[in-house]
Amino acid sequence: MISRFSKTHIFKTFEILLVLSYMDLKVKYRSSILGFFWSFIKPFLQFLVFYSIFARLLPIADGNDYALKLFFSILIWSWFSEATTLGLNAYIGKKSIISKIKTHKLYPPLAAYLTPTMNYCLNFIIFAAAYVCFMPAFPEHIFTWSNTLIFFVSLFSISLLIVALNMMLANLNVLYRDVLPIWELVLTYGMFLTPIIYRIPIPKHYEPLYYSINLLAFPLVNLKSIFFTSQPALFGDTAIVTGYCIGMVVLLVAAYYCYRKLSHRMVDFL
Amino acid sequence: MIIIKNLTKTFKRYTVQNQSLKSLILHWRRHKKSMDQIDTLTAIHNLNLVIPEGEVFCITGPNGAGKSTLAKLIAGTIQPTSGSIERQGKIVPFLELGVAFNHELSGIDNVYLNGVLLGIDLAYLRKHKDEIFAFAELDTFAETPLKYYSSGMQLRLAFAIAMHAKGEIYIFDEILAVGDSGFQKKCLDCFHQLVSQKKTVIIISHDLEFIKKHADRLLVITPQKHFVLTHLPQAAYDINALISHCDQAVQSVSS
Repeated sequence: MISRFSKTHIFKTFEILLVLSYMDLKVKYRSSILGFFWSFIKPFLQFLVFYSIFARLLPIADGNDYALKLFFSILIWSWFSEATTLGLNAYIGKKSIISKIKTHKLYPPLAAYLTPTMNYCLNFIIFAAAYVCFMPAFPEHIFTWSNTLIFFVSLFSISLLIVALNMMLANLNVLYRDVLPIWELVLTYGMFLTPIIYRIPIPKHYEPLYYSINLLAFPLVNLKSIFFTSQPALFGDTAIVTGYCIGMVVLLVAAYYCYRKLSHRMVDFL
Repeated sequence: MIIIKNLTKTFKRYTVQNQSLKSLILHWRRHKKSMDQIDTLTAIHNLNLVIPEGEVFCITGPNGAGKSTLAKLIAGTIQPTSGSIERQGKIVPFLELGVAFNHELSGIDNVYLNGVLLGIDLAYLRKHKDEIFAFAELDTFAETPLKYYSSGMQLRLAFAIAMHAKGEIYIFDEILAVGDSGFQKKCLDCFHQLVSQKKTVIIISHDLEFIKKHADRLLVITPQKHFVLTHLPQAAYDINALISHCDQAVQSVSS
């Protein structure tokens, strides 16, 4: 009997997740001429569209580093939206697998997170190169301990957010197919209600509420604060941090409850 | 070894459309009430059974009796409504005349996907992939997307992968008659190999000749959810009679 925490079990789990996410990627770009390169081209094209509209046609651009800021935000948004959209279909898209082989019910939502995460990591290298080449005024103290901490904590909180949402959405989508169009709508609104294209003009006293509802905004603003000095970090504001933590805890509890309650009987509905 | 205690599985019939998020949100009380009122179908009712290690255990019964549901419950792909199943050993399932394949992926990708999910190491699969395709007689189709495979080809590939998964319990749902006569012989050879290795083999079949020849014990599930357990070959020549009269049979292990 292999223990759940043994090296063999951890290695096997890692292998299954890797293969599942790699196969997801292959299926996604099947019959495509550019294939995997779409992972890089899509965010770049999205950036061009938004940049041409919001920096050229509409006077929204703030500062000389707007293009880089926009590109960075779009990468984070693409990661989030792609991962949750894949997560939504994690069970339905793998019906033939889940209904015929006993697998841990967390594997599909986790694999759905891993595939766009790999994409994001590769895209981040492109952003880093662009940042070094085009940043008008390179910040002096970018590689401090506090920045490193903020960077990893923010990435971790986005990952946690995606996995929690995937655990909920994947299960709910099996029971209620209305979840897909609703989530598409949430993503459309979310894009404009998250500080991606522009700063959201939230009154100060509503900020804790905003960051407790929009759980992507808090890590995104903090990540931007590392690379762009014009964007202050939110870690110092106790009310905002408390609001965000409450929102996150509520989401995690809801995700856990949803997963515990539905995942064991989800195959009956597939 | 498999120990089944008081196993019951029910499904909701869903004759009325109730799966609406709108009705859940707007009228949740009425929604809950209507959900509770949905008629249920009992697929397995209060089954107690022990399948010892190394036994060839056959399950038969008319269509809709619950044979495949029982196989899925043993495999762990679905969960019981009540009762428990204790499995001692790794299970290699082969359910519903189909396998865990993604039809958009190539044969080789499906070997990796299906293989790792069955617990085979990726390194092992890389090393033995040619053997798997050779066994399935699909050497030239490794890179072909699975959607272009015939159903027989898919089953052959699945069988070839399953034979590389080192399990202790094998479940075959109507599967040992895969492919042409040459491949069927291969399958039977594999089956004999599993039997000689003292693996537990659970077979769901309507093939009475096969059951008579190979099964140690037979479970007959009737449409009325009675279970008749019989030893073979003593009862081998009475199987037809057993199935037709099983609802009156008193050997029910469930009650």
